[in-house]
Amino acid sequence: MSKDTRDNVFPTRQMEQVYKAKEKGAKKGYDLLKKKRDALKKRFHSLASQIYNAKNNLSEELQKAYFALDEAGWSAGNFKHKVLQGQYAEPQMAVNVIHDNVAGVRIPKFHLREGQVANTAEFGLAGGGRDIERAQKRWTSLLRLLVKTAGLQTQFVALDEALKLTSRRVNALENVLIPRIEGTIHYIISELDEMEREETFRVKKILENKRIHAEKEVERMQQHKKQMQGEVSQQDTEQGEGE
Amino acid sequence: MQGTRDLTWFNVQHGFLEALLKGLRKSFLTDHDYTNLRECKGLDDLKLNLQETDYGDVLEGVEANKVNAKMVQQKCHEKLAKEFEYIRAHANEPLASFMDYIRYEYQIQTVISLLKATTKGYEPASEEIQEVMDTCHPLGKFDESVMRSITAFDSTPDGLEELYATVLVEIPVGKYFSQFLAEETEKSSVGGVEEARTRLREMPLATLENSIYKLYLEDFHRFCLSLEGETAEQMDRILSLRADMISINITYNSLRTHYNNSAERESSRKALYPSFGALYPEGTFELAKVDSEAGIGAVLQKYGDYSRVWESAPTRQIEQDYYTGDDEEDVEGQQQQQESGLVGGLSSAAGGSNEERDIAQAFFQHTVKVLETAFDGQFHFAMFYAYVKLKEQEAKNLAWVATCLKMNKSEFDRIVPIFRK
Repeated sequence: MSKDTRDNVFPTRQMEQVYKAKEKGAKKGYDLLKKKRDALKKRFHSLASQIYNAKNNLSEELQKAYFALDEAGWSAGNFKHKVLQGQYAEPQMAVNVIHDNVAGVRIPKFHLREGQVANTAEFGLAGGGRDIERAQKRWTSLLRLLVKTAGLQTQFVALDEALKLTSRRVNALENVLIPRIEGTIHYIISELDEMEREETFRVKKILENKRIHAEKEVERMQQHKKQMQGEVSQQDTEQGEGE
Repeated sequence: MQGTRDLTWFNVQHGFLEALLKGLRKSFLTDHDYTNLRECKGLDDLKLNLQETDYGDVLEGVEANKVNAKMVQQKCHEKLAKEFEYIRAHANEPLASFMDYIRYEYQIQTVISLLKATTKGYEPASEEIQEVMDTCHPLGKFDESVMRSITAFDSTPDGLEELYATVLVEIPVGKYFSQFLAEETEKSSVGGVEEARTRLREMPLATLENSIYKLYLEDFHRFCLSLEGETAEQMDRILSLRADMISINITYNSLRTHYNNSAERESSRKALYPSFGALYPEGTFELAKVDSEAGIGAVLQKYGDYSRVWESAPTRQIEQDYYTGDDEEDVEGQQQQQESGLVGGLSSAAGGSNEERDIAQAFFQHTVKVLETAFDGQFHFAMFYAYVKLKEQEAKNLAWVATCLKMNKSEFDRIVPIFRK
């Protein structure tokens, strides 16, 4: 087993336990992240279709808005400079950014606040007031759509980032971390087995040695015994002569 | 000053110009021209088609892909201004003064535009001011220096007064502004000059414009009557129509503004009605009290022409398809975010009926008819006025054609053809 796919650890039972726990954690994390990725992906796709719709509407609204402006120009003449005159301290529309939580990811969301809309009909009192008002409504509606589209785009970008990050993590877990842990465990187990086999062999060897030793001892003892017997019988003969 | 009552000498003094103008009748676009124009494929095509008409050279030197509606209108106005200058240069008194009066209207527009741009806070040398100067009506242009000095004043009551004292007295329309100032001072006699100043500061320029314009119309009307004869008669008809149109339009357009408050209805709004015309004083007195569309119709019932115009006004569907941002989202049961939905909802504009009268359009058509009659007459000055106004309508028509072509719309019905056969 090459060194890349496993950690450099000392193979012990304890280590095996540690790595077993690690593997369990990693698998769990992998499952969770995968779920998160799927959730984000789903959201991502729905966002994409929403953006598509919004952009479709946008071109239509844009055209309507410009046409309404031209219509107002038809009946009210050039009223551009009249509109410029107003002093708008309070914006008619403001965008707040709030954060939304999708599967633990903070997604910015645009929140539109609408203030008092200036009354524009009086710009065209002597003609075209209604048309100016209509144009104003058109542009207000266009602005709303624009804000919505911009919000969706921002969400899209943020979500894209988060999705990429999560995907990277999932892939890292799946292709690097988990194989590595598995490899380590495999290594530990095989190493332990190897050690076990060595142990058995050693024990066998010892036993064999012991047996050899024991045999030698027995042999030695027998020789010794024989010697002893020889001496005894000599003494016996000597004694017998002496009598 | 000799009026136009005496027909003996009319041709001696003004015959040449009258004949010249009669010749210009040929220059109006015909139905055939309009049919050609509306079948154009695009704006460059429009340029090509215009070449066969009297407007052949107005778009000369303009790159075909840069043609737009505003430009067409401006170029037409420039052409008109050129013709006007030519006639003005040959005019004897009192036609000369009469033509100056025609011009005052545009000069007022210029002054107001410049005032507006200045109150907005643009620097005198800025691009915005330059743009305002470039886009103002060629008939209402002053010398560059005069226009510059208008924009150089401070946007304070003092500055305003100074402006009247130094710059506006120099130009012919200045008298209307000073008259307006005097009236305002008089009105607030209790508080004196101080109060007049406050009033001026708080007055929206839209109101100022309407008031000045009213003063101008009244003055022009007086002048026309002093010419006597056919001129007085014709011009009385035309100017009365304009005055009445303003009264009716103001009433109609103010229905949804603060002018319709019961308090302001008879004070502020009534003050904007011109003090002559067929409706004055009885009709305007009643119009001042009106607070609904039906009310206007009821008042106009007594005036045959206007009643007909009112009734014939084309109705238009009020569009309700405004985007309100309500169509929120969304996806997978994440209800908790629903509360953050965009706040939408325009106050529903139309009470009840979803059609509204296009009263302005009806009056455009009516005005053109009256002007055509005046143009066909003889021995009077009204035809000079009619010519300018008709040409202006034609410029508008052309601009509208350009708009429609650009937007790919086919709402050519708005066009008010002149001298339709």
